[in-house]
Amino acid sequence: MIIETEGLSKRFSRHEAVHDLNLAVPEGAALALIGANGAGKTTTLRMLVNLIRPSSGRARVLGVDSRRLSYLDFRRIGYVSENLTLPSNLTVDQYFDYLRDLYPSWDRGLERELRLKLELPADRKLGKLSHGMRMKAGLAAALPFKPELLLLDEPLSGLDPLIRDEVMESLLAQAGEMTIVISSHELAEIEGCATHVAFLDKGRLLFQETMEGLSGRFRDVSVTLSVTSGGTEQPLPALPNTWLNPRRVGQTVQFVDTAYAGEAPLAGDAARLGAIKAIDARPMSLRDISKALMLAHREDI
Amino acid sequence: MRGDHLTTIRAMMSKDWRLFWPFVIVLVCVQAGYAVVSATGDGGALSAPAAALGGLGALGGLWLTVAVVQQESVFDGARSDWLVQPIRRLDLLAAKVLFILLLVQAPMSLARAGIGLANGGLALSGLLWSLAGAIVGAALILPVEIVFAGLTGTMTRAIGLAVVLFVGVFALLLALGHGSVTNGPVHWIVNLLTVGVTLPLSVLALWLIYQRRSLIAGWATLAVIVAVSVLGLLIPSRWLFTLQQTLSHNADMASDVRLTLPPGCFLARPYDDGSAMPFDHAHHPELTLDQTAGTFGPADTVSAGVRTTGPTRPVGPGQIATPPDGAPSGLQLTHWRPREALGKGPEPIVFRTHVDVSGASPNDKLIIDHVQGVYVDSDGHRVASPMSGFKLGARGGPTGLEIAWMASRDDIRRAAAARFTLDYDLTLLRPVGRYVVPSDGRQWRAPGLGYCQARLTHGPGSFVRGPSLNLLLVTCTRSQSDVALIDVTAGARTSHAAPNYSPSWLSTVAFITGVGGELSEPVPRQVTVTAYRAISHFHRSVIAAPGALGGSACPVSDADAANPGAGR
Repeated sequence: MIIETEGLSKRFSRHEAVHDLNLAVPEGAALALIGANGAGKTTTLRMLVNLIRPSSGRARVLGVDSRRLSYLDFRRIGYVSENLTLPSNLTVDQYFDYLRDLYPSWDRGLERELRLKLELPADRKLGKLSHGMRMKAGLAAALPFKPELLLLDEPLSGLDPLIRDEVMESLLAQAGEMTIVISSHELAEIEGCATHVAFLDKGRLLFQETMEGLSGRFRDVSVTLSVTSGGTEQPLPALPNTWLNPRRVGQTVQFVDTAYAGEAPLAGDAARLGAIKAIDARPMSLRDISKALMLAHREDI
Repeated sequence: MRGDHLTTIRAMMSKDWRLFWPFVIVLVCVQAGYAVVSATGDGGALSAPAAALGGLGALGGLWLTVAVVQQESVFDGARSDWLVQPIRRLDLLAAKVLFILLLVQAPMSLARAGIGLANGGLALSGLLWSLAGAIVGAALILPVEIVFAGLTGTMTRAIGLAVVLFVGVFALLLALGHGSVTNGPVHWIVNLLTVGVTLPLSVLALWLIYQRRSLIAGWATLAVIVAVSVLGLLIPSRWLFTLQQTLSHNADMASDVRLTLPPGCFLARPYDDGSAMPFDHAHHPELTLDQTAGTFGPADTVSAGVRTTGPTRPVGPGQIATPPDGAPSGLQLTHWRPREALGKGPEPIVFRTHVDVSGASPNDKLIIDHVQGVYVDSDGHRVASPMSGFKLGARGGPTGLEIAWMASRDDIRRAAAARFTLDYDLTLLRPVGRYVVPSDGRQWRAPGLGYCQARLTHGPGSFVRGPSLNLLLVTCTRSQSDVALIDVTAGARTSHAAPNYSPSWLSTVAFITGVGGELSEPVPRQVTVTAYRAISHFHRSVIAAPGALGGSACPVSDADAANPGAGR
C-alpha cells in the first residue's frame, strides 16, 4: 500500500475533523476522496503530507510515517491544493526555474508539454494569474518531477468546464504512472480517472472500495406497482436498510439500492412493496451515488 | 556539503533575488549615498542628510530582512505549502542567512568601511569585524523572526505582532516604574542572558511549529520568549553589577580605594520662580529645589518654593542646575522629577553630601551606581530600609563623589537616632588613551578606541532644549576595544558620556556626549577625548555616625557634626 492510515484522527479544539480513519490506497490507484463540505477531506490530505499533525493514530505514506517525511520523500510526492500559495512576484518562467533545481527527476520535456497544453503565460507574474490559471500552474508544477504519489485537494474548484477538461486530460495522461488521491466536489470530472472511492462523512470513513465495485452495487431503482397494490397514499412497508432515500411517487417507488446483486434478488426484495408491474434499475454516476449518500446521511441526523 | 544542497541553496537565493532585487538595489543605493554624504559632506556622519540616509538604510535593511525571511512562498506560516517541497530545513536557513548577509548586511558594512576609509583609513580587520558582527546579529535575530513568521503567517501580521509586543512591553515597563529599557552600563549582561535564553527557545519554537506541527506550543514558547525578554529588563541593576564584579573583579585595585563620608546636609525647599525658563515645560517638567550656597558641611536652612521646569536637561536626579536669571545670588539648584518627589511631603529635605575617595590614582575615575541608603540602629538592625522614596543621584569624579537624595521630613525624624549607611557599587576606570579630535565633523581614527567625530551644533531643537548655545557633539564609536567610558574636554569644559562595561568582543558601542558653551564664546577647534578602561568593579559601604546625616532637626547637632562618618 502506498498510503495506509490506522485510527487516524484530528481534533481542532472541540471539533473532531477526522475520526478513526483507516484508509488503504494501493500503488497505482486513483482514489477519489469524496464527501460533503467539512467531511474531513482536506484535513486528511494535510495530515498525509505532514502539514498538520494527527491528534491520534498514524499514517504511512510511501512506507514512511507521515510525521517523519523528509525532503527526500517530498521529491516523490506532489501536492496541489486549492489553497496553494505561490510566490506572487515570480513569473511563471521564474517559478519553474526555481522548482527545476529542487527536483533531480524533473522532466523538462514534460514541463514544456504541460505548460503548452495548459497555456500558461511564461512572462506573467503568478500573482496576476486568475484562480484557474494558478491551479493550472500548480498542477503543471506538480507533474514534471513524476511523483510516485500525487495528492490533489480540490484541484478543480473554481475552474470553468473547459479548463477542468484540460486539467483532467493532463492528469489522465499521467495517471497510469502514479498513485493519485484526489479530493473534489466535481465528481463527474474525476469519475473518469478514479479507480477507488472513499466516502467521508463528518470525519468518518463510511466506505472505501474500487470504483468498479461501487458502480456495481449502486443502482437507482424505480419499482412500478400494479394498480391492485393499494393507494398511492399508503405508507411504505419496512424496507431493507441497503435501500436509501425511498419515496413513493404515484404507483412508483423510487430508491437507491446500495447492495445491488442482480435483477432477480432485487425483484425478490421489492416484492414486499406489492404486486410489481415493472422494475428499472439503472447504473449510477459517482456524482449521483455521492448525492444519494449525502442525502441519506442528512436525513439520518 | 553535497551538491544537491548547494543546488537547493542556490535555487532559493536565486528565487529570492528575483523577488527582491529592486529592493536590494534601492538599499545599496541608500547605503552608498550614506557613505558618500558621510565621507564628503559637511557635518560627516551626523549631518542631517547622512543621518537620514543612515536611518533609512537601517530601517530598509530590517524590512528587507523580515521580507526575505517571511516572503509568502517560503515562510508563509506553519501550514504553508513550502513544507511539502523537497527543501532541507538547514538548506533553507543557509539560503536565507546567506542572502541577508550578502545583500542586506554586506552593503551596510561596506558603507561603514567606506566612511572609515574616507576619514583616516580603516584596517581590513575593521571590515571583517563589522561583517562578523552582522553575521552574529543575523544569527541571533533570524530565528526569532522566523518564529513570528511561522506563527502569524504573513509579514504584515508578524510586524503588527512585533509592534504590539514592543509597545506592550514598553507600557508594562513604564507601569512598573521603569523609565528606561536598559540597565545602564551593565545592560550587556541582560542582552547576553536574553539571547542565551531566547535563541534556544526560538529553535525550540521552530521545532514545535515545523516539526511537531503544533502552533499552540509555538505560541506558548513565543510567550515564554517575550516573558524572558521582559524579565531580563526587570533584573535589578545591582544583581547585574554583582555579576559584572564576579566576571572582572580586581581585588588588588579595589583594596586601594578608600571612601570617607563627611557629614553633610542641606535642607531645601522647592523653589518657585514663575518667570524662570518658560520653554521646555512640556517636555521636562522637573521639580527644582534650591539649596543653600556653600560646600558640604552642616546644613543651613533657606526659604524656597517650587517651580516645574529646568534650564537645561538634567542628567539625573539631584544634579546641580544653573540658577535662572534673577534668582537670588548664591542659590544652588538641584533637579528632581515630580515622581521623585512623590510621597516626600510638602517640604521634602534634600541632602547633598560628598564621599571622599583616597587611594586611587589622580587620573583614575570612579563611577558610582546603585546607591542605597539605609538607617541602622546601634546593633546594626535596620530601622528604615530602604527609606521610602529615596532617590539618589551621583556623579563620578577623580577624587570624590557627590551625592544628592531627597527624603520626607517624617522619614528623617523616624530615623533620628540611627546611623546612616550608604551602599555603593563602584567602578574604577583608568585612562588608556588620549586623542585630540578636530571639531570639523569628520570621523577620525583613534587607535585603541575606534573612531571619533566632533561636530558643532547649536540652538534649541537640535540636541539640547534650551537657549541657543554652541554644542560640540562628540561621538566615539568603540571598535575592538574594551573602553568603558570617554570624557571630552573642550576649552575649560569637560563632559563624559554614559559608561558601558561590555567586553570588547560583544558589541559595538557608541559613546555620545556634548560640550556646550555660549554662542558668543569661540568654538574650540579641537577637543580632547580621554578613553578609560574599567579596571575594577567593587562594592562599598559607608556608615555615618548616628544622626550625622539626619535627625529630628536638620541641620544636625553640633555633637553629630563633630563626629564625622568613617569609611569602611
